Amino acid sequence: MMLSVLRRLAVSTTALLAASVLASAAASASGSTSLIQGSGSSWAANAVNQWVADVAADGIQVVYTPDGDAQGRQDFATKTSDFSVTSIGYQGVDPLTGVSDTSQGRPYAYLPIAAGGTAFPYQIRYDGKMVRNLRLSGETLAKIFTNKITNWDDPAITKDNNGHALPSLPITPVVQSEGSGATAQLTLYFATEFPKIWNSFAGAPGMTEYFPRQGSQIAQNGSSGAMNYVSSSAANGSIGYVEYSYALSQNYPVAQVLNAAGYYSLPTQYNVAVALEQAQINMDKSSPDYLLQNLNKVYVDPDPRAYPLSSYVYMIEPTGVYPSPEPNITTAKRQALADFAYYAICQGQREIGPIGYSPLPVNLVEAGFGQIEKLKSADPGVDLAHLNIQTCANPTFVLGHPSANYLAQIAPLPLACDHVGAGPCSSTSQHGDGSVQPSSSGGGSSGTGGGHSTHGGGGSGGGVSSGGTTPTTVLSLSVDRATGQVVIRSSAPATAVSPVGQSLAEGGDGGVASGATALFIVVLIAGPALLWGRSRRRRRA
Amino acid sequence: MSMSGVGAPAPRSLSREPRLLSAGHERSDRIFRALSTTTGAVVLLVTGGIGVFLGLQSIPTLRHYGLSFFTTAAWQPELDHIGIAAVLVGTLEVALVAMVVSVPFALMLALFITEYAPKRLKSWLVSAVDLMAAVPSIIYGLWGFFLLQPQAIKLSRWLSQHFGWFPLFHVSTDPNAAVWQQSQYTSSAFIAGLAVSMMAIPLACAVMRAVFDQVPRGEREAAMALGGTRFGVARTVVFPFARGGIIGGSMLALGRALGETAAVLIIISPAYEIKIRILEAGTQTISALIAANFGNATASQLSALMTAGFVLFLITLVVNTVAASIIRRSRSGAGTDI
Repeated sequence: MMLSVLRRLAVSTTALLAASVLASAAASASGSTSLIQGSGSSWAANAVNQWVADVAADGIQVVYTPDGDAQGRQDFATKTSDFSVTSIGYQGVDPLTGVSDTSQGRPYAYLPIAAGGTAFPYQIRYDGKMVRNLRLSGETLAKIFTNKITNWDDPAITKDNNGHALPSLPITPVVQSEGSGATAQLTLYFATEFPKIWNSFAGAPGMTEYFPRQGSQIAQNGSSGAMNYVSSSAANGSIGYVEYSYALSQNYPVAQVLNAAGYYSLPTQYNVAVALEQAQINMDKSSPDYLLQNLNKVYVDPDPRAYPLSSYVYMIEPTGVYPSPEPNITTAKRQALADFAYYAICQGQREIGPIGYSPLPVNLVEAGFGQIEKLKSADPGVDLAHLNIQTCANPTFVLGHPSANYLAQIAPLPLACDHVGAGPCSSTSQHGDGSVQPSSSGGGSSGTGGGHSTHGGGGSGGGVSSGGTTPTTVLSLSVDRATGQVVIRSSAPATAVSPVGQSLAEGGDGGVASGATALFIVVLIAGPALLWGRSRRRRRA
Repeated sequence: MSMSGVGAPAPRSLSREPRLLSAGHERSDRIFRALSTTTGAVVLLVTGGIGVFLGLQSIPTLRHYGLSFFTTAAWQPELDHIGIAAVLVGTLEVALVAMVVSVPFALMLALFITEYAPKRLKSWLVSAVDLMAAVPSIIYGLWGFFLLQPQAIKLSRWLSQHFGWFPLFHVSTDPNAAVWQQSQYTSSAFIAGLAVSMMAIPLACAVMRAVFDQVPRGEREAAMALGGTRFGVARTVVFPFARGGIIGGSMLALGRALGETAAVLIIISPAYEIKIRILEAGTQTISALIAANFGNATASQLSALMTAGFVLFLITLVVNTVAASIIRRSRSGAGTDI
């Protein structure tokens, strides 16, 4: 196909560009790795880009394009990328429509790289205030995204918020227009838990990567597009679905989602870790879907801390032999893939908790090591000697208990006011900043419990400091009591990557910036004209 | 030229044969001529090649869907239900809005620059308009999304409040609600058209300015001498003379507006329905459709996208050809003999 040739050309041009940019980093490298390119999930993009920035310091060059899960899998199948990141596996050939989603014969393996929660950022403003403590049940969410609930003052939403009515404001659901992992996770949840509501809306049973946009729903491209839309000043009344990190990076509120225990929980790294203890992983090594997830039990996890819409995300790595069927995957590239994957599932896991993901548990990291070893069995030239599970700095490890998840152990219990029929908690300062008082319909009693500031100490699980089992593999780790975020003090300096669109949405110091920009543009316009005029005058003189 | 041949004795061995004249060109001439001929041929070849390539690619789609490809609004490749009726309408709407905004704007701007602006301001304005043309379209897209849209929805709301009875300006939400649904006014063909008009203005303005400058000085001064005001001169001399240029510049801008991709892709929310409510959220244009879907398209979907592209190619080809012929005809000042 001519187009794929064109695309490959474009990709290699990008690679060349990136290579020249990273030339200085390459100089310090051992020279045993070469540039690798991946594409796929925007759900996982904030984590992957964090790792890409980190490993660049070690001379491993990675280019990642978050163009959506469906596109990423297709890029991998057509061998235009070296790896892909996706929330769901290849779906095979659809018996009804004949649409094919396969690797087109390219050998591959799934490698879990991160966990996270699909969050629901929303914008509800009234009287110049912004609601930051919205609570929604799964059924209400399903009805919102299927246009059955169309106003924020709907009784179902009032009920979720314990009788506190929101202002009358039409709801605008914001969906993602490309084939995305976030859409897949959302529709899988709806189709599993609320099949009647979902199937009649979608017109077909089951999950889909392409949201069937209808009515007043707005479609935006990618996670950043959806997040930027929800947080834009014209989007009052909108609610979207993105990975938690996108909302966190913009300091934007996300809805607390009702779990099976009757608590409204947030997609923090703890709650996601707790919920995913119920994930059923395919452990059949001969299956093509080895390590893929079944989330049915996650959705109904009876733990009061669980966040229902938690899921893992996977890297698809090439396991074919060089040069056939892998004419492009040289030993140097495979080495880079192995090193990058090792960093991602070990040290890299420490970086992603604070930005809105959740680290992998040890059993998946062990399985991941098995998948990385497949790179060596495909090419004996790959050196895995320095990749050691003993030195793997994953924060979920509990010494001597390989199946335990440390984060799930220290996860704080929810407050009483987060329960059905109580609260809502007086302030859900989800990201630790000053917040607006909740909408209180009667004007009388607002929340019963304390604020989230006591969240960390409220749980019976106790904070890190009180736990006697602080593992040695985890370097100084503590919970910020105000934000509920883990603070990691490590000697290794990490380069922070801020997602696109972060500062654009915030008004804050916009005055200075726009003033400077205006000045710059004026100089740009006036400069040449002034110079030209002066030179003419001089000539005349 | 010395007249040496008149009185001087003729050379002895004067041949009766005429002197040989080399009809061929110098080698450098030949090289230059070949080079420029090749360039011209390549341009024709590329343009023709695009048309032939798109045409060939669209054969399977047209054979499969037939005429229903032009009458179906939905774009559901999973259900084998594809058509460009909606995207064609969306493309024309965005272009229409862009034209309505940019043509008067460009006309006034060009008139001000050539007729009214003091010399120093004139050079500033010219470079500012050139800068406008140099800004990449993705920048206009970001500007449209983050800066223009939150303001433009107020205009959209005002329009639907007062002219909502007119189907074009109707929005299916209550514009007079105490808390109005802002998001229903975003991501519309209207706002995309506003952003695109910013890209069309410099193009149209450049052509109009060039034509206004060509208006014969004598006629202009004659009109002045008869006591005409500046506006009178513009109305009776400049506009009639430059009518062809005005139309041609507008058509060029229309060609640009029809094909604009990046800015539209950022602003709109894709919706596949034939919708004449330009203020309401959701539309789709051909170029944005291709940009959004060609990445993860299967072979048959790709062919459908190519067909959509072929239709757009034909439309822009017609628009630009008409524009070029109008501009060419206007050069003689044919519009002046009223």
